[in-house]
Amino acid sequence: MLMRLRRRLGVLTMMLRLSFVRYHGAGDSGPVWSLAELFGAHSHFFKRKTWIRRAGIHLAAYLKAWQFKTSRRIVFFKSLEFKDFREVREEAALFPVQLQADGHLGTTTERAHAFFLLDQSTEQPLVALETALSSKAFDNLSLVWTDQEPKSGMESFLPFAERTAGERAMLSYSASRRIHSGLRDHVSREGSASMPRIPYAEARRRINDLAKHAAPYKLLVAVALEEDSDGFCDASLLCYLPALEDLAGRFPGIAFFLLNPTTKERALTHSKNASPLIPARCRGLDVEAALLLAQDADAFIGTESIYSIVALSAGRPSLIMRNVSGASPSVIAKSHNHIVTSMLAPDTFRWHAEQVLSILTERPTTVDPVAQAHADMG
Amino acid sequence: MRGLIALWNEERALRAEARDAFEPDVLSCFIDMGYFHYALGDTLTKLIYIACDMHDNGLAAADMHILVNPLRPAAPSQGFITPENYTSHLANLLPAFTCLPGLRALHILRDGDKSAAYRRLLAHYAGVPIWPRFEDQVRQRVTYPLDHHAINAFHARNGFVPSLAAPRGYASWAHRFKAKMIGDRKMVCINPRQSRLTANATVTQRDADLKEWYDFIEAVGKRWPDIVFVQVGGYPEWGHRLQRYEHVLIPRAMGLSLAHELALMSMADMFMGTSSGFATWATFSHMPYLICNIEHFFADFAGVTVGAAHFPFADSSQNLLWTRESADLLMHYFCENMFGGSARAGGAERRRGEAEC
Repeated sequence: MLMRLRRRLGVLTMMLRLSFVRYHGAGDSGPVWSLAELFGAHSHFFKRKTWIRRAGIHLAAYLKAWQFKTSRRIVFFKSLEFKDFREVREEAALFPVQLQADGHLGTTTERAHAFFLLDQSTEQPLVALETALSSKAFDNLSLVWTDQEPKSGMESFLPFAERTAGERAMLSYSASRRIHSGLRDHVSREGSASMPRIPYAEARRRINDLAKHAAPYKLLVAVALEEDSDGFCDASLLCYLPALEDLAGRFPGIAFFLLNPTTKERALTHSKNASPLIPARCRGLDVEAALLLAQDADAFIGTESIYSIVALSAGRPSLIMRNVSGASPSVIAKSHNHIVTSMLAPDTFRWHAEQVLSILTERPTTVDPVAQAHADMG
Repeated sequence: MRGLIALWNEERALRAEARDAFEPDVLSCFIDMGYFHYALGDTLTKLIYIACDMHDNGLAAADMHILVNPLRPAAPSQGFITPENYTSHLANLLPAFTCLPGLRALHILRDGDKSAAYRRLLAHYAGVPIWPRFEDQVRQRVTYPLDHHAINAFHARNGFVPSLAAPRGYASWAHRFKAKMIGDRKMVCINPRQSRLTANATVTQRDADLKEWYDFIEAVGKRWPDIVFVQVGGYPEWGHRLQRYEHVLIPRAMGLSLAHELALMSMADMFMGTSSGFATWATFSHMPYLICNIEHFFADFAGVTVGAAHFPFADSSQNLLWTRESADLLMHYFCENMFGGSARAGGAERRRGEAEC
């Protein structure tokens, strides 16, 4: 009898100790919860007392449900019709801004759960997670392929106490499907203070290492060009490389880092006339690090993309080319430190980029080629 | 009394919630990174456990839940993964989870212990199939290295082992990339392990002798210009000299990621490399392979004897090498698989290869 009692006490002591450890390790798990969880799991010590196990699990489930439903609200993101990974990536980055604009994030919502509903044919879906993981706007993220039964999706993640509010949010984002175009335009032109900054150390370490090795003493300029459907910027690079090389010649104190993947890395670097453009993604920077480089570089030049939005939001001097179909080359927006234009020919691109880079170096710029052409014609 | 009734009602609501939230024919997997390792090989082996479980229980689909507590993101044995850098490690591992055939959803739950534990309990409550067992999840019980005993037993029962697929959403990209960059040439994926080149070097006795590999790659380049080597592995993990070979392609040096590498692996004609994560992918595929420098202690865990030529579930083109590799050995296995016994090699190529070997 005494031995049995001693054994029971031993088990209880161990469970208490474990729950204490878990409580301190897990951060926000309560000790009662941990105890209940362990009580349920360790109940095989109490032979034939299955009710103890059931009670433990019930208690744990109840406590956890209570903790879950009182602590958070869930919002949704629907990207069902996005086939192109570039769209998925941008939507993932802009979603916190949309939530902020709609008054969800940072006010009624502690944190958010983003769902990326994907078609079976959506390519490279993991870019959504790579982009969203580095932002603190979402704590929970889900990729759900909708060719299967949809039950694995959103409903089952709704805490029952929040179901009504959650369903409203879900409907709202299902209906809009894409980030509101007005908001997108605004953020593309002005950036957004609510655009999450990337705080993580690993990406920062890699960038620092690369910059110290590849560009000591130099100012850093991030360059992002248009990517094709496979994710490479080869075609665009071929077009703008001479202009970028010319800029590098004019501004020897500036190092240009290309943020997109390219298969032309060997041609860029392994030749007699190695290009001054540094392909950062080919030097070990992943998506997270490339986004951080866009935020932290001294300036940004290139096409409108997730990188330009991130750079604008960080207030960097920038030249951004928008892919506006059918538009003639023109300046869409201009302020003291950034210029938004339609897609430019390399010559015009070089001239506008010079305007932005001269902000960094305080160096006089050359003549506008368009104005020069007009003058010549006159 | 009213309180008790309210409690009873909530308990009934919870049961109803549990029944609605899960389907009995879908496996719910809970991978808690608080005690599972951030390691490619271990993750892929776990996927095979899961795939075997799905087959045994007649389940066609699986929902994957990755549980990460940002305050304590990794097991104590992986102390170099901290709250400040875990996103990089996690993002680098996520593609591996999408290699599971029948994957329906991938959830990353990192709100402490809230929704993850809640959902885990609901699954247990609903009585639906879950992996690992609820008790093992709660007690955080796992032993390393992950063994092949359950996989060998599955093979003995069924005569096959489930194989891994290209990461979901990357297969067509790999087709296009191969057509553009490799064309009609043969693709051999290589992974000479170089943990010593990384920031957190571990088990460096398993690292490959790069000189032997360089000799082998140079010799192949001279004899067979229609062979392209694709170096897979993290950016710091390959030797600088590899970049100089025209017939070596390095996806990481183009800004690509693990997902792209695994997708390319799924299309390769052969894999050659050290015993590590990519070798595990090859182990659970149908491709010919040579896995070098397997540590002898692993024989017990794999259910074979030291020196065994193949895993019990492998075919004759899937070879194990329990010693350090040399250029000659690499060449021998390369010739045997690419031109000798492989069904993928054509007759003319085989004869040419045999003559040259």
